[in-house]
Amino acid sequence: MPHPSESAPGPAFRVEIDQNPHLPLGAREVHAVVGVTSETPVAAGDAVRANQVVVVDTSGSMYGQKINAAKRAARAAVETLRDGVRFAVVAGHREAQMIYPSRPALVEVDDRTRAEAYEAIGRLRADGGTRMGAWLKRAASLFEGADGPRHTILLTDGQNNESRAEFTETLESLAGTFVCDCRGVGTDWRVEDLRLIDEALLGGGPGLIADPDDLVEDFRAMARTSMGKSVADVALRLWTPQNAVVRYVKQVAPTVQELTARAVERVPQAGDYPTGSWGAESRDYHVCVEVPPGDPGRQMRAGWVRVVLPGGDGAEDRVLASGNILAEWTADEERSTGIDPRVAHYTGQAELAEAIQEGLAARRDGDEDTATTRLGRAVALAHESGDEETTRLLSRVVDVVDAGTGTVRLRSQVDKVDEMTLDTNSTRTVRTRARREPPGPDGTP
Amino acid sequence: MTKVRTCPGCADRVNAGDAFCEGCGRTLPDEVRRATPEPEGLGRNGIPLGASREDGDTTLSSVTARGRPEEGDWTTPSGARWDRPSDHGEHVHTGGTSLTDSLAVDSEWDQIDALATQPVRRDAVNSAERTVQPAGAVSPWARPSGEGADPDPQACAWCPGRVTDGYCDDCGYLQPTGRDHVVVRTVSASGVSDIGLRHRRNEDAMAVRLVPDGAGYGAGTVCAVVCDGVSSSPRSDEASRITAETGAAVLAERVAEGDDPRKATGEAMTRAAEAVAAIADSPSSAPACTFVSAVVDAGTGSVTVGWVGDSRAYWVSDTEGADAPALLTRDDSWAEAMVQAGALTREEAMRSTHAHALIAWMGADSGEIDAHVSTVTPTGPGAVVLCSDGLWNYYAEPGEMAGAVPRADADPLAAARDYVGLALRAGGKDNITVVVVPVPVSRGGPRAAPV
Repeated sequence: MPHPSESAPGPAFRVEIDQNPHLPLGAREVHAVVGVTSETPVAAGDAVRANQVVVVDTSGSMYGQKINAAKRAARAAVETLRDGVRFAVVAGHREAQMIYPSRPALVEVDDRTRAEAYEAIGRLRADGGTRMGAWLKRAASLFEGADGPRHTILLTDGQNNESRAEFTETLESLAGTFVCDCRGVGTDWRVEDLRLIDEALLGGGPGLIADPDDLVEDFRAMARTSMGKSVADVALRLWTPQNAVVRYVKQVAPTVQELTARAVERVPQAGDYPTGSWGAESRDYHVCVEVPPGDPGRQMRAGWVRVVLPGGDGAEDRVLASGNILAEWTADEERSTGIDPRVAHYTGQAELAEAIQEGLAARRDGDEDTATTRLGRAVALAHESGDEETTRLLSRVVDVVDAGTGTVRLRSQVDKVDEMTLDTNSTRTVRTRARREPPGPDGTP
Repeated sequence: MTKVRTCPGCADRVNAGDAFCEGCGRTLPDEVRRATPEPEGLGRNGIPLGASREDGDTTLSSVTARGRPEEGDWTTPSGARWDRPSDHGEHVHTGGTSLTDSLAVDSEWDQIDALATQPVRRDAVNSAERTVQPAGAVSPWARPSGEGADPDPQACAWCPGRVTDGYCDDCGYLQPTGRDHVVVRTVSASGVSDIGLRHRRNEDAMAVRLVPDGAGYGAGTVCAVVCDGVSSSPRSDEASRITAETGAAVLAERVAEGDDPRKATGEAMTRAAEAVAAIADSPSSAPACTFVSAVVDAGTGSVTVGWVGDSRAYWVSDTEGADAPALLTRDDSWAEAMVQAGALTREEAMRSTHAHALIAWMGADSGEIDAHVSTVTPTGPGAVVLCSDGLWNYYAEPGEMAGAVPRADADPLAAARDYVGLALRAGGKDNITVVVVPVPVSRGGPRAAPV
């Protein structure tokens, strides 16, 4: 087992901060968008340290075309895994049943295990209930002690048959311990179930697969992305001054994910927010910190953001990149009133996601006034930010009278797929144009 | 004897713990879905017992433990938080206590004070703070021992925190560099000098020196100087520093040798003027500054001020029976000259763009200086406030100056900070320097005189 030595090229991360540090006198709230970019080379050969669990819903409702498509998709996912990756296939019904291997453990991918897995997947039968919490607990136990990125693909077609309290409790206990990407096939599943899993397990946003035949390509793509992740358990560490309050920490790109409650204090005065595994990619976070107001002209480090690889077994944490969120109080209104364009953009994107979810929920509950208002707001926000994809999806749920003002009428007939696609995709955000170049080596602009 | 659960709606069989019936979709009532462990076959959550040994609750609990802080990995300095910069900010208004105010003064600090001929950065205050830790009491910001009283470059200027990358680890404030913000603190007088909000460097300087207890004459007498670099001259920051230091040093030296404060002031101004003239490359490129000094006699309570230029000395008091606030200096400025000549009213003169133009200063190009010296013996309690125009521009009238910070004599350091804070809030257009000397001179430190 090779140990990463001091000289080994480590993961390369970059932090960029976008904000207007100037605050009016007496102001407390500091906003910033923290861009984190990983330029980590993809590991290959001996360096492969990845763990993959594929969970396929085999409840009774999967019977027929769906279970057959799911089998092909699971096979495609296994096919995509590189040799040396440790993996398992689990069938999910009222319990989590080991399909391959038959004992509850991960096995290394090679020609023999691949062939055995295909054979086992071929024997899947649709029967039983839907217990996503139980499936995820199984995945967690399989990952126990595993080294490197831990990824699960979860496929379902139905509603979770666990009480909300039990399900939430399970997710709370598993939060951040591995990464899970969820897919719903058909339209009988509940977007909220998968969104909860996605939030707790740092997925890339739940996905809706309307046509079971599209599963194969989707699974292959997910497995490929997962293989690209080479750094696991990366945490975003946010230090704040004493007497400061972290209002929120949200991932805002590529998807909106609330992280505020996930903070763990591993060093004094700082919270570690789990971000899961990273390949070569870039994510943005919106951070809002409330600090005690300072005298005019004083400059404060209102937040110190560090990308940290926590050291296990008493080893030192490794700080991979860092940046400062600053605050500077000024009586000059011209300077203090400007909102950073990136902060403004993501504030809008987060509100857009919220408006869509609330609008659709109100529509389901028969509250047409709220639905019209919120979906109208969503149309206006999507229009404003030039988010064409969301605009297109919204126009299938509401008739847009005036996109600029957000004047809409609810459609009486809405295809379930369109509604669910809009709901599912609501947390995906569009990015602003590329950042200015080049950032400083420590990430400070 | 496995209990069979059925849906009350469609009579389909349901599993323990199910939230709804998979047959008809009906939400199941609590008594049906409640998961009482069955005698055999199923463990908690419906997981077969055979499997749960491997991946059930036992392993789950260890999964849950991930990400928790490792024991001993971090400490929370709970219960011992100190006043934060927010409080510092508040304190500008309220005159409340801040860290250094609340510290008892110890003998080591007295010695440092007595020797102080130049502004002491807050670093040194922090090092003094180390020495006042009661034995056995461990402060959350206790420093490692062995650092002695050396100024600690890693100590925060605003709070007891440590500095990383120029920012405090506790309060987060960017640290002042060099002279941006300087505090001088002695058992009696204290001063604060700040760059302000508009200038790129602090060209003001101050120096406070006490005549030591062992001196032949005038033990405890306070000698303070404030200088404001003339911004149109080169290296005016250097000019003000050397002038203030020379002035205060000579004052204390002369007083200790028995000179009358007026004579000492004249000598100090001459020597200070020589010192600043000496740093000029040529008369056409002469660093220059203003000068205002105060000698507050610890024995007689007399106040002797000397000045050149437009830095001022005020008598401030708001105590019944004490002398009313007064301006003890008269500016060597165009505006004052116009007023004295009867050409303009004070308001008209101050509105002019020439208002602050100096007609006298210290520097190689100043020619013969007309040193003003004046002595008063005010009835206290009160305080002498020496300041640059960065402060008095906002509180020109003696009544305003005294009213801005009530009971300045009670806590000179807090008062100096309050004055600077007020000037910053008012716009901070210039460098701001304030030295507050209580009268009568307090010999036991600012805390010794009950408020």
